Amino acid sequence: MINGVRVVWGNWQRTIDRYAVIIYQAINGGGGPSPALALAAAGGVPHQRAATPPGGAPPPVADDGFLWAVPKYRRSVERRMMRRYGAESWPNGRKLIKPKNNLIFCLKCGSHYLPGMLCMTCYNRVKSETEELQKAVAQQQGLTPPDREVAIVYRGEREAIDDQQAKAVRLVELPKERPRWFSKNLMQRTTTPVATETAPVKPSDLG
Amino acid sequence: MTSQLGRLIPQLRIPVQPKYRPLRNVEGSYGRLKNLRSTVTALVRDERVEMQYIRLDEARGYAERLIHDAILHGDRDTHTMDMANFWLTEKQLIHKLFKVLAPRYAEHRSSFTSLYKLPPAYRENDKGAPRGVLELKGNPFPPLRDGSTDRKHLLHNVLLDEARRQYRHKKYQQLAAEARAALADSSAEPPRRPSGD
Repeated sequence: MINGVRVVWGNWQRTIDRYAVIIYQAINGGGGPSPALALAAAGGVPHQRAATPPGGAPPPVADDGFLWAVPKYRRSVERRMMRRYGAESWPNGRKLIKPKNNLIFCLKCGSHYLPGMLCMTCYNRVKSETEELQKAVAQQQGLTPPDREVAIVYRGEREAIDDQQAKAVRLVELPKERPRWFSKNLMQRTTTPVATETAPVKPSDLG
Repeated sequence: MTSQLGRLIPQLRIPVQPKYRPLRNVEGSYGRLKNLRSTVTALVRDERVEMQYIRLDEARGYAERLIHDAILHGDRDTHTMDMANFWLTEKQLIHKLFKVLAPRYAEHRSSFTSLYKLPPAYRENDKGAPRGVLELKGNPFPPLRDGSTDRKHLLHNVLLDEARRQYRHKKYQQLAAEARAALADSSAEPPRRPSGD
């Protein structure tokens, strides 16, 4: 049914286009000036039709009416807005920014962040300190092959490490105080020697 | 038998995608490999790197495999050394792999690296890829996410603790009253001996 309507509509369009071409040709005298006008202009001497119309308009396509890809119909305001901003029911959602309702608060600093990700406030603080430490480690290391663990030593902490511990690790000393949020207990594992003697306990009373 | 065999095969202790990530590069697959190599090298050198998340996720498996090979086979193994030579573009880091990282992770039973996601950056006209942080465990830097989140003082935990305490107090009083009553009963009449049949 719809296809039939489309075919009829297409035929009707083609007919209109064809008639438009015919009318255009009748007005312009078949691509040139009309014979009467031509006679008047050339002083009564008839001549062949000109190749291009004097008005400068391009010659119409002779065989069939053909429309290039141009907007045929006005796009309604509703449709225009829909294309611009999207709709809730679209497969990829709206184009507008949606509010996030799943934010959680960092227990350390109180700023909000997305679940499953890092809190950006805490991360920026850690990042600046980490970059500073990485720079200090790289500067001390140079191109020599690293063969020991690195232990970061802030100002005033060197005295707490004895020589045996200092030999087991590579100390990178920083000329500044340890940040208060960077707990020293976290450093305990790297500066103390690992317990080498361990005795596995065998299970007993298994029946 | 199978457990012993399993020890010989390097196992990844991280979730691996069934298909590799499409890391596009003008040099094609060789450029992709070059990117991954530079990522693994940066990870071994700096112990904490921030990059595109997919690139880190892709490079993570190679770094884990490299460390696991170093632990299993040591620096006498030709193939392991070849792999270390390939993946670490800065050659002094080969020493670090065998002398620092392999002893550090020899007794580890979980993954050697941690991968974190960073939230999207809300910039104007932002079209950047999601970023992440990859780090070697046991690095000397301040922790990205310390486990010492104290939830004891959250309001609902305080209230629950108080409710639990009151419930326990009530229960103890009840038990004490029952015991007192039982004691009074037993003192009133002498205890009966159970019959022998």
